[in-house]
Amino acid sequence: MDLGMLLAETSGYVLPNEKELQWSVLIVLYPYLTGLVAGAFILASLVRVFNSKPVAPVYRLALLTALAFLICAPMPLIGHLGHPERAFQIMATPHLSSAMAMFGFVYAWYLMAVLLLEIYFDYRKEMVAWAQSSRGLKRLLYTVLTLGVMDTSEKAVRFDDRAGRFITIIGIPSAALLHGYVGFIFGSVKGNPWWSSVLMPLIFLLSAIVSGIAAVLVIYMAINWYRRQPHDMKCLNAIGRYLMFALIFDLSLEALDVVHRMYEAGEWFEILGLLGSGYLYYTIFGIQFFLGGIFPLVNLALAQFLKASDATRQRVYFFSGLLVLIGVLCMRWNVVIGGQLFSKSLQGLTTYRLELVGGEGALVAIGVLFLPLAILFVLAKILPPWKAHEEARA
Amino acid sequence: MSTDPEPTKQTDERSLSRKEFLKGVGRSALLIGIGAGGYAWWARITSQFTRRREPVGDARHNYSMAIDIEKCIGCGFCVEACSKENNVPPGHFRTWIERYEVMKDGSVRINSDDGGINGFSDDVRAEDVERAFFVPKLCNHCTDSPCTQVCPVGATFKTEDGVVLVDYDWCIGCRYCIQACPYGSRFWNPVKRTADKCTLCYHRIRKGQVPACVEVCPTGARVFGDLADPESPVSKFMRENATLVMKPHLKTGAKIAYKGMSKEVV
Amino acid sequence: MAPQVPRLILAFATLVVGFLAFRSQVVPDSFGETGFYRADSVKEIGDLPMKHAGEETCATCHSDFAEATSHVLGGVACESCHGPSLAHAEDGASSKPNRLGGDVPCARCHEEIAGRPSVIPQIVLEEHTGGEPCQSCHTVHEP
Repeated sequence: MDLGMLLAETSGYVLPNEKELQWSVLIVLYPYLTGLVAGAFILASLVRVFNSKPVAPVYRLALLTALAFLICAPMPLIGHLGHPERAFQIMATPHLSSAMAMFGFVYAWYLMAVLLLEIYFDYRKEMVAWAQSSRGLKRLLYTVLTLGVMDTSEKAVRFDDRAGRFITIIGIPSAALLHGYVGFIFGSVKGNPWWSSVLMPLIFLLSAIVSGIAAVLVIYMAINWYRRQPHDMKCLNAIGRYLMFALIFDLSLEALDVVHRMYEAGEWFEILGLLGSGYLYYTIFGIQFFLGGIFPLVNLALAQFLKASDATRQRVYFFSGLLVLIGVLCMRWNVVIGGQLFSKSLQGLTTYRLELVGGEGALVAIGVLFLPLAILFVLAKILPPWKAHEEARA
Repeated sequence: MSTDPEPTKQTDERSLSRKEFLKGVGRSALLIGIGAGGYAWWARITSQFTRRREPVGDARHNYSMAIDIEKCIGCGFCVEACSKENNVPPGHFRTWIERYEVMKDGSVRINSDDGGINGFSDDVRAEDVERAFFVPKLCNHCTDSPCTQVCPVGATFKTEDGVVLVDYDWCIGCRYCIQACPYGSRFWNPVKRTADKCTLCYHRIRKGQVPACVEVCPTGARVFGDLADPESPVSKFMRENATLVMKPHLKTGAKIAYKGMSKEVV
Repeated sequence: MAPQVPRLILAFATLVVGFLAFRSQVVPDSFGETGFYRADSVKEIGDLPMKHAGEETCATCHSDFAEATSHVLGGVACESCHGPSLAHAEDGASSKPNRLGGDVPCARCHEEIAGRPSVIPQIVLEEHTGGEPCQSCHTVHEP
């Protein structure tokens, strides 16, 4: 933040140190990315733990999507730090009273003990086959990925399966923790009335699940178009249904939060009302609630209950998924940026100037958003998520 | 083998029974318990090897400041002195002054041009002002500070003599503490690229001097001292005057006490 | 035992041991001694150099001004107007404090503005000075 930010337009009385925002668009992205991870994983767990047969075709894709986003998740955080070279300190000396300190261990736990292990157990048998049927660097890669365990006897495979299921069970609360703690980071700040709320971790988690399901849905359809494969309509319909139910839960809680605040009307009511009816009006009610929430929800509901052609349903799913993704990103914006647009004096507002270039600018943000897709592309090449399933169908 | 149908894990014998689920939960709970216990045991073992040496901050002291709003003339010398003493980057403030003007029509004007570093001048007609006063603000050096609670790496802390400090060589610059402070006392130091705030001129008080702002205040509106010493100026002030702290409902344990507080103060 | 288990245990053990080894190198020795922070930083901050000398220090050489100001200007510290002067106190020749010349900041305290309590005498600027600088009628250190 440079001197330019200090000249941000303010209205009313803003405390002298609060004219410039502390947390930029990069901090908006972090909860978004971890939310996608948690949501994609929950979708995968629907297959493994709750036996949702129709969603099985996207099981592996969901895991790889989660991994791609998880790899990118720390990037906006490290990019935002004043001293990124000291980032390791969060693991070396985690201050246990700080929700943010949980990041180091929750992230490491989720990456290694949950996601990587689950992918390992699910793919190991094929990785052995791929290692044995290829040469050179490829063979080395797959051998390393199997950790050198080339045993494909029934005992080993059965262990893979059992262990994978066990990991998924642990993975569900772990995913909830991975994203829930981010909501707690905001919800526990008693000095900020926009953030301070018991509902915050819940709202974050539910919107994460919504965004993760939507992401897998959109990516699945995009990949099918790219590979000129037909969509599995049973799968799409099932995902659409889950997305619809998740949206209902999520929007209910978000609406409850708004209604509750308007009813309680504490000392913060005036300034937050000014924010909600002014600067943030279109992003909260226009995009987060309507365009990214109610509109896709109605479309998804209609697709469930009305007779429609497969083509129509596909269009509905794809565009609803995209709208939901935009809506959840907007929700993160409204929380993170919104919470800094008013002063703790409760008497003034300031502005946020998102620059185009610069370390915390729009271009970097867009890069961080799309880099996981590039990583997913590479992951899908190494660990194809569809081969075996299609062969089974053929 | 390539013709082996990919187990979609949907066949009956592979479906998860309740027994397996509970076993899984039980096993994971056991593992987590072992992990946590192991870490706690290891931490205890290693802590026995940490040297415990003489603390530098002296626990016999409890430094604090009190503000007499009725004496502040809004000259801004304190803000200027602090800025020079502590190399505070322009536009950022370890301490600042707010002017409150309660107008005859009932509205309240609050302003703090550049923190008051150049003093104040009249910006409305004097006859429209019912009542006005100046309020100097600084870090409250809270005993239950939310800022030290949220620091993820232990870079901000309260010393044993009651002063909340920032370790500029350990701070990673995440800015969570700046968000958590309910008073806006903390700021981002663009030169150090860390959080920064009033240190009660720790480098001065440890040498027996008073903070720079107290040094230059011409009216004695800022009262400094050691709360642990009943004869210190601040202890006497607190005994003789009714004082309030900022935002008491947040239970931050704010130490800076204000005499002459008025309901308009934010 | 399934063949994956020893391999996985080995992998995780390597990671954990590696992390602990790394940690033992990067955490400073004084961390945790007096609380969850680097105890050395307390001394480091306490040892930072001062910039303001304090009135008593000024008086050791400039006792004439000090007496004047303590009688009439009351609590006005030398350094409020002259700026931080510890460097000058330590080596008088090499570093001079701000001597102000004609640019005296009297109005900063003495101008009558809304909200200024009457603990000090105040004047309406234009009326009192008629545009003339303060020192044309007042002696600076004995006003």
